[in-house]
Amino acid sequence: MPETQAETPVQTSASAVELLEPFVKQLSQVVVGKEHLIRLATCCLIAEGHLLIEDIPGVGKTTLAKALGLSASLEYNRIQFTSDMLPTDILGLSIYSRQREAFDFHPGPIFSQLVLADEVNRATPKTQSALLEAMAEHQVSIEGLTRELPSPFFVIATQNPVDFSGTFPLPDSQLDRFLMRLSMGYPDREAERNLLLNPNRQQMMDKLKPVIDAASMLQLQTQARSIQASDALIDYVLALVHASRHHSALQTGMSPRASLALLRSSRAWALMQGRQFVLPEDVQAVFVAVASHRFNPISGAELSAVEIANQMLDEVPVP
Amino acid sequence: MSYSSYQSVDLPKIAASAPDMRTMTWLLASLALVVAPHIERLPIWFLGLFLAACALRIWQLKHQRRSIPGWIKLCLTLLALAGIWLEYGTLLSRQANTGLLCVMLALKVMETAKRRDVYLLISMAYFVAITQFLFNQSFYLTLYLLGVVVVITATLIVIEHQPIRQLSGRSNTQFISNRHLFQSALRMLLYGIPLMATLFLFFPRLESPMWGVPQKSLNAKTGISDEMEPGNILKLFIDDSPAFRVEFEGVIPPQSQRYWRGPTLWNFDGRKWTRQRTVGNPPSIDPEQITDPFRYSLTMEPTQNHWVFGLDRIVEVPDRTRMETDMTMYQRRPITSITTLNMISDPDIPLDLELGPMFREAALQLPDGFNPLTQALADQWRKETESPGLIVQRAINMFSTEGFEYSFTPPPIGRNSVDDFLFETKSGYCEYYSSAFTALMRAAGIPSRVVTGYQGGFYNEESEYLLVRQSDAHAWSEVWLEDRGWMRVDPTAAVAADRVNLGALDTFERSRGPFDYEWMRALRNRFDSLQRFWNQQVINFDKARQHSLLKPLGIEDMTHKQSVLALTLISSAILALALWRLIRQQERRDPDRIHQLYLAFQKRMKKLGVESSPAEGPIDFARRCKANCPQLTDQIDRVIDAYVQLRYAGHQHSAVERQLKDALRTLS
Repeated sequence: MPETQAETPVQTSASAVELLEPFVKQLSQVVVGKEHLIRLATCCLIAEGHLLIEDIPGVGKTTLAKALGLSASLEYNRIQFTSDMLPTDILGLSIYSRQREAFDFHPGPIFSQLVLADEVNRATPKTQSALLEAMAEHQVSIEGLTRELPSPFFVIATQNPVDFSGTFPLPDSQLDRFLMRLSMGYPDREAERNLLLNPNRQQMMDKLKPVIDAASMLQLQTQARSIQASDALIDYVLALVHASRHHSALQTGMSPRASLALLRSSRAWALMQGRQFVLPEDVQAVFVAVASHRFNPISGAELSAVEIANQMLDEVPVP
Repeated sequence: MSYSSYQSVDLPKIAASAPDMRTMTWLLASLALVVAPHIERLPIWFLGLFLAACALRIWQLKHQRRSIPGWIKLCLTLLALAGIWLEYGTLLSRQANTGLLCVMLALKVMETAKRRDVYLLISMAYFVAITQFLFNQSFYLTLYLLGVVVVITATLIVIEHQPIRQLSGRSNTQFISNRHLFQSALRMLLYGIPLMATLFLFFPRLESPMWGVPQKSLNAKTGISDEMEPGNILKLFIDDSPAFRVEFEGVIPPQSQRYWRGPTLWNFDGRKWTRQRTVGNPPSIDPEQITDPFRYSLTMEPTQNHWVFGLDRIVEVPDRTRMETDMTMYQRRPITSITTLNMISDPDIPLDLELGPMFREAALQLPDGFNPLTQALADQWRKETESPGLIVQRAINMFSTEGFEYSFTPPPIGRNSVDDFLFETKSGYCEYYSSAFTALMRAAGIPSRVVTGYQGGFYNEESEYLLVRQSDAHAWSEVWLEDRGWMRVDPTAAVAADRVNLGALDTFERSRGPFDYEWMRALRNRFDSLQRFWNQQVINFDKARQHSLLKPLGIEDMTHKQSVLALTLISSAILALALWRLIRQQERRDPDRIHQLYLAFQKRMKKLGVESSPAEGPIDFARRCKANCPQLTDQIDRVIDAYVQLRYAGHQHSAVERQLKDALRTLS
């Protein structure tokens, strides 16, 4: 229907800002003192990527995921990964119905707009790959039938970086499928005081109202794709990618998929700033989150991946 | 943060948006300028309609009102059509069509809701500019229209800039100053000159210039007519426009001999002199008789008349021109375009030594029962004086001694016009004198006639040509004397010798209009050579001239097909050149050059104590700069603003680049 499309007024990016500001504000009330993190998570959502949150238990990973789902009025499912989980536990399966004398498909928890995959590294690689394939393809094939996943489709996976006993760490190729990796970190003193004074998080969570509907979210995603990235900016992205590939402390650099991811996230970030074009500052804002989990420091490296990413930002000149 | 001005921006939406105030002001100004020369040919109500449309549009824009409903527009259109029809009596004439065009232009102003409408109006404005040439092809109009075209082009730039101007979120003149606007427009038009010259040289030409479509137009000069009654020539006195220009080969006749004869008038009805239809050719001239002739080429301005003017006595009649027995020259078609005629005259050859009985009768004809006093005076003179030559002398003496005066505002004369003039009012100008003198001579039995034409002219020393204006119109007399033929007698000269020596205008101190001063006249005379050059080189550029111009290039007798081919080839070459230039320009506006400007900015800030880090984005750097030099916040914002637009927002626009440079300058 090209005609009706032409007549719908194009949503301006001003409204992108107007839409997203209350969204971020509401999330900050629940996940206190983590505004930048919340913005990055939102950015990930707008850039149509999936998010990996890596941190010790109890810093609010689940709270963030839940609040995100509620505020964006996304249909929310949580999967707690365990080592005895099977792919069908995620994807769903067909069960023979005696009455109908046929197989009925029972969709698994993956058929949801927002999926929280808690402790994703506890599952066996077989189960992990079922999830990751669904994330990449936006569809699942079960028993020879391809089933579309809902749209928007957004996976937030969490894992504990400290306690590795009985886990199957995600291989590099799987990590690459996450657009961003965030680390929650401890809240600062003020935020934590706030947290202790208002202990009833659950009640707050129940009071959360949807701020953006799924349609608006899809529209924001469409807009983000059309944000202008000039030649100079592409040069900057290339310079960063190049630096990662020739960094002495890294085994491998960023793949082309990673550079695409960086540009995609930068675009979404620019849209969130209300701009129609990407600035180097946008790239810098998302770089660590997008790049660091794809870095593979050599054994015995002095710096962690995040530190290396930050160092690159300081060193690579803006063209 | 100033780059926040990029928020709330959507390019496609702005592209479809309505013209803003600056665009509208420019548009209306250029429309007013382009329509202005048409005003005298347009109905009076047009001015009201145009102004009302402009005012309405500005008001709507200021108060954010919607445009007027369609049915009102329809009614107005129909009314306008009816008005044009009433004014011109037709919808299918040159004037009616231009009138219609201008009226539609005014109506279109009312509905300039979108940028598209502005583009339409701009195209119409260019077209209206061309239509001016249907009525007038003078050099000055061309100059004026060139200026107007610059303004229209500037308007085009303004509307082109509108989205990005609004994007920049800055005031209009900050974005691009009017001076820059004019410069850009002028530059664009200069680029067009090679193409224009090619079209001018190679476009297939007609045998004669295509301007002079014969049709009565308000602007056409009436010039000398074939009738004379008091008042006719007076209208010409106040007309400063050129009648013709003459270039002499060799000898230039002195002022007192510059009598450019036009129609010879024979018939007198007591008030009005008219032509006598004479059939036949003037007596042929023995070439041996010609001793010391004037050779000249005379370039006539268009009139609606047939008359051709020349010095006595014309020996060689120009092409396409006929001469009658009484030396009246005319062309079969009215002279509607600038026409150059080559002539030879020898002042020493007498006119008609023999006078046939028919002509004698015509030259003695007087209406019955008019002017009894004149008749009585003539009878008395005839008794007292023997020779006709002495009678002529006596009449001339009478004019110079008996209190006659030269005046442009003579008292009215009655039925016996000659009696009244000779015996009572004794005041008038050339028409009065030649009419009275001729009537007096006829009453005294001397064959005589009136000659109308021009006398004198301004000799332009620099460009070596004589300019004869309509205001040089004159009337004099000729008497026929035995053995001497027709002799020119100028009774006006007897009264006001200055008329002949200085010209009619300079005989009076009085100015004839608000802009009529001595120095202005001098200036106009001087600038006339420009107009003449224009006429000869541009307006008169016909097939023959094209041919002679192309001949040295080895192009002989180009057919239309060939000339179109040449035109296409040369135009393509020019366009290819332009394209190449454009591409090169694009290359020069490459990011590196903009980066150089940014580096210059960093250098300046370093001097002010803010060191940039290479890995720092422009916005972050600007933030630090402003923190360090809060007094420069505005300038820094402007630099970063423009830089970010050029480098990251994909606006490869020279105006923005200029803005970046300007902003940088304010920092140093």
